[in-house]
Amino acid sequence: MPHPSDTSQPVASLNRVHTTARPGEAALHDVSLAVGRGEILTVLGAGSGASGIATVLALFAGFARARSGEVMIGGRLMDATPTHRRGIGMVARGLALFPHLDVAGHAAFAPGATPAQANAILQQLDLSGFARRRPETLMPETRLRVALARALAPAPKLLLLEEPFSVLPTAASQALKSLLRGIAADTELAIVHATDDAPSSYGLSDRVAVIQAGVLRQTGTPTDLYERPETLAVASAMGALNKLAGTVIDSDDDIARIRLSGGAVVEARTADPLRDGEACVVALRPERIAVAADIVGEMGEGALSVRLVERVFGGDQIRLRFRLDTTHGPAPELVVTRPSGAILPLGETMSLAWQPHHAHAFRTEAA
Amino acid sequence: MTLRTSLAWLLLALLGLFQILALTLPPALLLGGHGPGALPALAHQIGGGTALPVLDAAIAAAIVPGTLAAMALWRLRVWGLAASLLLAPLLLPMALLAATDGPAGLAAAVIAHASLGLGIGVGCGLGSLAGLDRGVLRAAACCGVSPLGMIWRVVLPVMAPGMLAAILLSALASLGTSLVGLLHGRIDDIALLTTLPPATWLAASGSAALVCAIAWISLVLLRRS
Repeated sequence: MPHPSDTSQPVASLNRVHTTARPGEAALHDVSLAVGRGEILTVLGAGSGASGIATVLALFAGFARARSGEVMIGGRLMDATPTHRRGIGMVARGLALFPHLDVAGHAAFAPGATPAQANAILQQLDLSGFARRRPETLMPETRLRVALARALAPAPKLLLLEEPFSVLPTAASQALKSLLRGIAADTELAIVHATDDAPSSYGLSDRVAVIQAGVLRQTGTPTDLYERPETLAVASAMGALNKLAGTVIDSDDDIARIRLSGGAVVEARTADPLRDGEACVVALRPERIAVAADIVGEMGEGALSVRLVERVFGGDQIRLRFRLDTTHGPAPELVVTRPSGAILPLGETMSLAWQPHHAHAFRTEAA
Repeated sequence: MTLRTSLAWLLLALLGLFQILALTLPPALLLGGHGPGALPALAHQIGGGTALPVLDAAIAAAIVPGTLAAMALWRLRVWGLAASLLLAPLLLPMALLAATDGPAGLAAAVIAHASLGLGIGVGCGLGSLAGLDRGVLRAAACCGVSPLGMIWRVVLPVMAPGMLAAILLSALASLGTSLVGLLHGRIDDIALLTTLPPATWLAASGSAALVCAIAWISLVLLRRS
């Protein structure tokens, strides 16, 4: 069986696809991506506006046409192939369950689904006890399972998911992700999952492709994109982020020294080389910042003097908001997360520091 | 524009044109009308059992073109003028009709009742589709169902209650709308019309006291329940 990330013989692919803008969605510009057998690819939207991730699903499903480029499924060009002949399954946002069918009817709906397949998928998704229930009487998680049963019963080669976990609590979505990973591995089903919420891709995806304003910014494993983002947009899309404006003093290999707008000097890793004197943004993950009650001088070079202004309990972690001590200009703020139990008094002066490779410097125009 | 969309627009245009003609051009003008003296002949003809073609026309128009028009309006998200034309017979009086006799009069009545049935079919169809998530059609397509299969397996089952209501309402409206002749001519002519509703009224009008008593008792019983 091919490795889940083996895309040498992809099940589905977009090759240099350009589209025109659709209502509420950005046009795609020269987007190429592929998903292999048994692989789960998350297409993650970045930026504040329309990203184009819904267009990616629409191209695979046949709801939208490419202006140029190729849309391939199963090694065949899909230009003239209508949706119902593409061999796909889809769970759209909103689920679109049939009001006139019960759960068993949904599982048996597809023309190619045999009663045995329908029963098997009901059992696999823990829906056997709900066979005679109508969708409107079910909880959101169960309704999602019904939509999955309808999509999976005819054994498609490609499954498309549009923001399926957005309405589920964490525990329920984790359970469903685990189930989907098992199904993908057992049946070599390729899954394309589109979302604007990076945490929904954690624990599910083999690879993530970040799209911003219709342009593919970066593709890699979730860990790669989280730890080594190439642009500020990718870094922001992958999780919570602190951003500090500054100017490059000098750089050596992939580490740059940067003077922040408040005057402090810090170090950060650069994906692209930055020129001396260039404006940039230093991006930091909240959990990568160390906090100490020591004064700045004792923390060493690169430490920042801060004052704790807010403390928010978050269950297994505590969220701390610090305000930097600056010599001029407005005082930037940083958010730090620490395991619950850390006792830090409000209003106290403390020091923050981080390893250079945990901070990323990006050009301001790349944001 | 796809072929299906073009056909849907063509259907809406043809039905809209039919409604305009049925409402604005009296069949008397089209088919060579006669004077009020012809009313007894028409009434006798209708009262004599030829109301069935009229009723059938109303129901058939409600079910077939009415359902198709409702689907087209819903699918194309077309409201405004198109929907207004198709629903117009529910609001506008049809007093200009039933002014002929013989086959021409029957044809006029069939057209009038078909127009009314079409409006009822469209209204009931749109009502049954109002709450349907459009995504179900895409979901059906992704399951491998063809466009015709979508209509048969998804849209029609959802519309079934509305279609049943359309049959009943168009039948009731058709029976009642034979009264349109009452709006034409002098009051003396009313006694000459023997369509079902006025015939019922004429039979009951001689026992006004009995009718009032039945109505009063019915009201009391309904209030108690």
